[in-house]
Amino acid sequence: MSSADTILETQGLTKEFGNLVAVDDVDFTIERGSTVGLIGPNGAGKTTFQSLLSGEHAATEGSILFEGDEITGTDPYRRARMGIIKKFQVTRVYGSESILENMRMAMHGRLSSTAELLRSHDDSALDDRIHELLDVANLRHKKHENAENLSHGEQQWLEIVMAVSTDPKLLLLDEPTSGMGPQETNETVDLLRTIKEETETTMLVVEHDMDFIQKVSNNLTVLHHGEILAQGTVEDIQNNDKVQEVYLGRE
Amino acid sequence: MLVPLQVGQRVLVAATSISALVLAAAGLTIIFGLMGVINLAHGTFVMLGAYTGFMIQNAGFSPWLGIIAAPFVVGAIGLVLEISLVKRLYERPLDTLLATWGVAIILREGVKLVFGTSQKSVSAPIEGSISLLGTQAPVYWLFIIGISASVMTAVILLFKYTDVGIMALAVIENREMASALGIDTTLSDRLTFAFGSALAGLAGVIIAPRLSVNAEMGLSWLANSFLAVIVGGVGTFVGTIAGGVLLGGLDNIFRSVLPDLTAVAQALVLVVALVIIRYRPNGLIAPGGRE
Amino acid sequence: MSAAAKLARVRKSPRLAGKLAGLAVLLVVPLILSSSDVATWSVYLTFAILALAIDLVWGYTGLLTLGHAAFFGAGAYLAAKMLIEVPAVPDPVVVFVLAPVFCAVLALAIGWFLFSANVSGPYFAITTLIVAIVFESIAGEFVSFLGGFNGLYNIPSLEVVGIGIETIPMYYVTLAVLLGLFLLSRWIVDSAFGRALRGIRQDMERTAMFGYNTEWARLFVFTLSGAMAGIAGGMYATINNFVSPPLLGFVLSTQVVIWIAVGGRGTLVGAVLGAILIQYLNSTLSDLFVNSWNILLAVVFIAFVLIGPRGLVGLLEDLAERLGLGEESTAAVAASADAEGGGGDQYE
Repeated sequence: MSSADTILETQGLTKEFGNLVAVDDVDFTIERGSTVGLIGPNGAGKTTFQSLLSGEHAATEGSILFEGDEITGTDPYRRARMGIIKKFQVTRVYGSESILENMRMAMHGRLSSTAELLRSHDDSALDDRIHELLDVANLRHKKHENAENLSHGEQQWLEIVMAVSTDPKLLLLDEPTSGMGPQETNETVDLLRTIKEETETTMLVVEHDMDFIQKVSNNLTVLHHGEILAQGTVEDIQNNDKVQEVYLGRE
Repeated sequence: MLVPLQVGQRVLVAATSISALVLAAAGLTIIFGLMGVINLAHGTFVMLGAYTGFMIQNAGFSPWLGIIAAPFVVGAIGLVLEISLVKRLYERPLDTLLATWGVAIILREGVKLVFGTSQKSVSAPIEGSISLLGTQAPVYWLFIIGISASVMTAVILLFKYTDVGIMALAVIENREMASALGIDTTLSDRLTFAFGSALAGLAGVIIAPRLSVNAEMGLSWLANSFLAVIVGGVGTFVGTIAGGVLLGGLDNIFRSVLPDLTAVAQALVLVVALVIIRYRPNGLIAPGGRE
Repeated sequence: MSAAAKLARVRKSPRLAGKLAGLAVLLVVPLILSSSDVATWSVYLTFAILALAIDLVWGYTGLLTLGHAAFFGAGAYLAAKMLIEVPAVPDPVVVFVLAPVFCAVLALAIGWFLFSANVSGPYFAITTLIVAIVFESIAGEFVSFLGGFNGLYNIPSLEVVGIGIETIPMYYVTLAVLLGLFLLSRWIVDSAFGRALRGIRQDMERTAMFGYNTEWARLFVFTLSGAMAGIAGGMYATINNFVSPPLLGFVLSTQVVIWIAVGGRGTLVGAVLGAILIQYLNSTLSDLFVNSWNILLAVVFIAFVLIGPRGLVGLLEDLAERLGLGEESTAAVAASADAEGGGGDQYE
């Protein structure tokens, strides 16, 4: 059920890998400005669903609408230009480049044409914004270090602010706290909250960690075997019998 | 049945070339197709097999000794290459490509230093000819075809049914599990690589009597072996055989159609191979499309 | 900038100092050598342009191309045919317009054919190798049109408005072209587009998903590189007055890759340094040592492949740092550049 405030909508979205149905006929909407949590047990299809939105995988059936436009067959880079930016589950930053360079590399992508890119030789214009974001991620003091020398958690924060630097309309975060301990997880919560306050970017967060996700989102969708099992607030989900079964059954 | 002289001759020539190519390409199927190592020195391994045959004959020994020794000699060289270089570069395919290209240069130039740049000739261990397909063909050619067929069969059976072969495959496909099962993965890598190299050496020594042996001969073997492997379907012996037959067959067909333009004929085979790679990157045998 | 500031800048940057020193050497070459040697150095410079072209595609964008001589040779053959048979077209047009356009079209076609199937990495390297083999055999085959194995000779030297350009002026023309294309390449890689290329080299999918049109960028750089190789080839034809099939083939293509690897890939100056230095060393060794020299070069090449891509340029920079000729560390340089409020020289 879409409204004027819907930024993304999927209709009957399905993805099959041979005989495996990873995403099964999913109707899903995301309201502008919201933070939606997509949770579910391993193999539920969360990452696949997100990769259908980013364009890494092509849908077998169904359609995806972004701001009212059909993007089902659109190339990933074009979707990025439209404002759909992803942070990968297994962190992908430019390891042998400095943090500062990483930010610069991310920032230009969506905002410039080739001619503009060629003509752009002055980095200072972006530096203010870069420093702002690095402050939020608590990485400013390391800006000249190579990204590969960062800890696992720091790399994830880097990738998040790299994504934010492009001024996205829809931020797709794939397990932003994977491999993090409780301290780092809390810092990630702060990071996302600050980003939300500043930019009001719409976010879709795929997560395993219930503690974490309930701190950043009160709008959860549970996926199971590629289908939507339940949707609602954190309380709704916690009181939902089917969800209990699925999660308890797994423990 | 009366087969025209030309055709009979052509078929036998093609069969011997294809037989040797399939052997060399099988070595690359193991090294590149299965292990994923882009070994640009593979052509020089073929060349070294031929030179081993030459050296042994030159020293006065029987050509049969050359044929037996060459796979071991080249296998040993392959082993050295794996231990010194390849093992450091398993995660870096482009660097492996470059480093092995450097090795190929060293081997080629080394051979030129030792043996000079003149063509060498190697005589076949079997004399005499036989009447076949309406033409007189050297008996040795049948030997080439026969050896290649038997070795190929043995290789396929080795990897499918013997413990050694199955373990080698297990190491390639799932290193951690194989290691957990107690298999020495390092040793397995070394022997597998050496085995692939040995096949190239064998190809070189058995085809040597049919060609002129020189330090540069390896390049066309390199290109053709890679194409046979890629076109046929990277990683399957049957695919490589199909690739080798296709390329070898096309080569001969194009040559007979364009007898005055042999280089164009060869080029045409390469172009066909490129087009196949472009449209079916997983080869002809395997299902098409790359992720 | 005042003279003192300029000098300070040169002192601060060993790389810039090195480049200027190298340029100075190249400028005085014709003054020290005999005329035929100068022509040889002009040839070195044309191959240095080819190396530059390949470094853009390989060193920066990460596409190992083992067949790039195909474009060099195509430019050379085109120039040869035009200069011999269609003298009505002015020479500069042939060398600086027709050759690069022709080669750009070839590169566009081949690049599009391969990239549209996402052929990249090792497969791309192997297929470009095969392309070079194909080009060389075709040139060797067509005797009447392309001179076959013997090639085309008696190609006239460059003439502008009816005035033939002598050996020494021709050297400076070639040097000027090299410098111009070097600065153009520098401009490209130092721009934000250069970041896109580095992004493609390191993680193409991630780069695309920040919004870069990576497919177009690849094609653009490959085509431009083909055009540059074409100009180099065209100039070669007029300097050497003779072209033959190996100019198109894999031996030349792979040799240049080795020059770049030894000089230092992904630095532009490394490609030029490697090309000129190795060609020079090649020719100063007597034929007796050619095999041993090739082996030595191959060993050095393998060493640089194993230990890291910065090659000779990297070694020289480390040496300069150790001798205290530059700033203490890149962090310090960047920090001071930061303080100046600008980007500063971008180190690889």
